[in-house]
Amino acid sequence: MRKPRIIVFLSLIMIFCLNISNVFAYEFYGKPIYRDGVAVIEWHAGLSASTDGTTILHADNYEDATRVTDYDGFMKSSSNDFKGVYHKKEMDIYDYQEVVETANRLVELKIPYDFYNPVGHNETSGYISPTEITGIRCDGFVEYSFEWNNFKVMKWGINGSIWDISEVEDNKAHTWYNMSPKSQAAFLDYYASNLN
Amino acid sequence: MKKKIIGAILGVLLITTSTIESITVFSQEQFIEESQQVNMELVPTLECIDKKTHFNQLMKLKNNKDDMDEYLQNLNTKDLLLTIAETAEELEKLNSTSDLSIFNSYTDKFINKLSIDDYTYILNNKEYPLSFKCFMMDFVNYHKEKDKSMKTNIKKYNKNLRKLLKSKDNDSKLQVRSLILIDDYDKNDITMLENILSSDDYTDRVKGYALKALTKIDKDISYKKIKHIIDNSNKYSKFELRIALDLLDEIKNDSQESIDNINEVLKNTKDKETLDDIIWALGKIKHPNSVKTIIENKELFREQLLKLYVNMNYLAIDKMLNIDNDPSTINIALECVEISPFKEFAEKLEILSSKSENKSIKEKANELQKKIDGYNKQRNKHWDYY
Repeated sequence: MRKPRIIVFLSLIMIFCLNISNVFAYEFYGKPIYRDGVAVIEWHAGLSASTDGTTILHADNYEDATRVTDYDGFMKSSSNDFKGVYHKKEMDIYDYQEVVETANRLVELKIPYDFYNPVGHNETSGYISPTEITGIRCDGFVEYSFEWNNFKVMKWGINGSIWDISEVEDNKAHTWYNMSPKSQAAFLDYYASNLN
Repeated sequence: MKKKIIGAILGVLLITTSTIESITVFSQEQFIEESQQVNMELVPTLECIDKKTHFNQLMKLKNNKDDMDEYLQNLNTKDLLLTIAETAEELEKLNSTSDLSIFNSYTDKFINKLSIDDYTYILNNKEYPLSFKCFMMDFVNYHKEKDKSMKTNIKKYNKNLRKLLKSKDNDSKLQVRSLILIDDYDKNDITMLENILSSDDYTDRVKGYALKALTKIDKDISYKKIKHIIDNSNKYSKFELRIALDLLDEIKNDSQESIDNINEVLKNTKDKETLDDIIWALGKIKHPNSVKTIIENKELFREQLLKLYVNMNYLAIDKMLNIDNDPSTINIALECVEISPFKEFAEKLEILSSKSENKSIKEKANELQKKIDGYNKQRNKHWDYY
């Protein structure tokens, strides 16, 4: 009678350990990260594309703004402080895979920086696909990667009905005066203070 | 004799100097004449930029957001323009030019104060920091619909963007931005764009965006170029090939021809990035034959991109699952469902598992129904617009 109980107990421990290791295996994958140091008062946004946060996708500077970098490249200067890893609690690993693949495509398309439009485009209606983006900012890069895949980040209007930066009408609400990396982080759930 | 020789040398020097001066004056005057109404009182001088008066002041205020805000609010148009130019030069040294967006909140001051000629002067001035020019380009693009004067004169501004493009010694950042921002392309631009595409003096980024612009004007000419890139992919950069593959579906109504072109690249590459580009290109076509190509070659592609491909082509795959299709088509579609078992496939699988006369299809559909329950994901409708 005792033996089956022990087996059940050990099995439960094994399942628990497997789940824990699974959590750690994908810990930072697909999650938005932020640092300060942008014109003193603002933050810079990026997306971790590796499980340990060492590969980062972001939009920075002008030509080929969308690019891959490492932690130091993201932080840029030792005087800048890492402001945390963020996530959306309800998202799982499959969801983050979609976000990362969209971000990867933005990187491959080598989209230029746009100082004014978080996600610039020339479309008049419907959706703005990755190919149709004419310029992008760091907060637009993160916002687009999530919202193209239906994961809402910044929301406005009644019941947050205006949210999709990849849709022409909703894109109009995502202006430089309505959004910034710091305000974007406020719409996400805090996950960790660092990538260690 | 000596005096005569010295006199002659001095004479020659004097003539040479005055000639150089007159050439310099001429070229400046000529430029201003072309631009006609540049307000030289407003545009920053290099001497003033070098002094960094405003930048140094901002650095003193940098730890107090309110003070910095008050300082920038109180600047007049001329000093704000100068502050942006000074800061751009300093940020370029730090490789941090995106920080210039901090000035966005204050640049409304330029509306109705700066003319298209002033913006044109800024873009053409080779001594100004590059990021200052890029910032001003984005400013014009953002405000051109709202500012009446800008809207009226935008053709003149676009003409200047074309000049920037034709001048091969301009920085590629300006050239790429010019290609994106020109909003009145017509048949007269074809030669310019073809010249860019055939020249070695332009970067592959510039050429990629030139190909996009050409596609907007003349799909037939663009297709010839794209076909050449696809048939001779080893002679082009990965980026040029990527753009060519990406544009295929916009150019060709004939999906099969596009698929054949992509197959040609597929046969000749093992490059991981190009294989990704092939998935993206086939993903846009949304035709059963493109689905077939992907499934027949699925070992070549990354698992995650295969999942994405099924998402992109949901509508085509869903039709392929119709019970009256031939078994080979249904089997290809079932392989897609296995890759990404979205909830939306459940209805068709239910029909197949209950009504199909083909035993293996029936069993597979039944098995995949269980997989859908475990996966519990919906497709992303955004991809229907890709």
